[in-house]
Amino acid sequence: MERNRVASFALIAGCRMWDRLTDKLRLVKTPEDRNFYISVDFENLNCVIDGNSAEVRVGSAVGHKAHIEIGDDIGMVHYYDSDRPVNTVMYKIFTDIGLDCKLEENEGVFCRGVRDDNVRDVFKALAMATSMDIRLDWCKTLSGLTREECMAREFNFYKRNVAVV
Amino acid sequence: MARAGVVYAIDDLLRIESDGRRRAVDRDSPPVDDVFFLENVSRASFEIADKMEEFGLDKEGNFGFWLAGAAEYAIPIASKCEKEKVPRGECIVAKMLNGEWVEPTGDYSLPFHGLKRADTYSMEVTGRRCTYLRGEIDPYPLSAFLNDLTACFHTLIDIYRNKIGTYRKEGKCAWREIV
Repeated sequence: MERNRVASFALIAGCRMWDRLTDKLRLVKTPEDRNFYISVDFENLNCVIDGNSAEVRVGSAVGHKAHIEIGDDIGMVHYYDSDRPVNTVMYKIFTDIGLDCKLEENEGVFCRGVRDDNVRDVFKALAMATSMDIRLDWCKTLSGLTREECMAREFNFYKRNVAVV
Repeated sequence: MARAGVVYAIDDLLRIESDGRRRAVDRDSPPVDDVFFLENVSRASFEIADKMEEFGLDKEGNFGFWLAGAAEYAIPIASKCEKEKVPRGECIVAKMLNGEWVEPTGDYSLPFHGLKRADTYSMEVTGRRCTYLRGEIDPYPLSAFLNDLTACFHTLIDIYRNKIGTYRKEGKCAWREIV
């Protein structure tokens, strides 16, 4: 048992940025004129930092979380989700950041390579994960796009509006 | 993977405690919304207990789990008295019958015995029981139960603060500060 670990400043800074970013995205409307986040997901967002690790709750489902660990050798992010299309988009976003990732379609996305200098990008990616399953459903049912087109739309939104923050 | 669960700032916990004290002294009013208070105590105690166990503090964890249970067990009683508009001072949680603490129905009083178990662990962890009225007054009304539950919750907060440390909360972020 390790006690009294000082919280990583990079994680605190990343979390603060994610806090502000999710506040802004909450106000965004999708092309279907729906809120970017559903309220029950937004209300459950939280991040707990302990030393060099953080656990980020990204949705209302109890297990919808990500675990971040920073460090030169052990740095990683584990994103847990059972939704295949969401995992596929998250895999694309995480690899776009430059992480070395493995996609487990029904379990999540598991990446290595998280460090002090890129953990901020990981938090940006996680801001996209919230309510993505709902957005993909709206996209497919209300816009008439294919699932693949909707997934591409999520990634493009990330590149244009989130990655550049 | 480390478990995080809900992290409570000390201020949040003290607010719950303060709510309990306010309800406990208001003996003449029906227990309006006491169910929500009991749910808050139960949820917070359970989460803290879970965190204690994560830190290898098993006795402290058991104290929290029994406190969570006692609060949970009292919900049907508070709910019934609220519906029937019975004041807290007359809403009976337990009474002595044939040498046993039972509910007015004659059933084993789970809230009373839940607190008794919490007291046992309080003795082991702090050297003293956390209740003042349990077993001392007969019958044992909801107002007394809330007083004891809140006192025990205060003890749990103290243990949490001293042994785990506090979390600083800022927006959706929380991090453990040096203790």
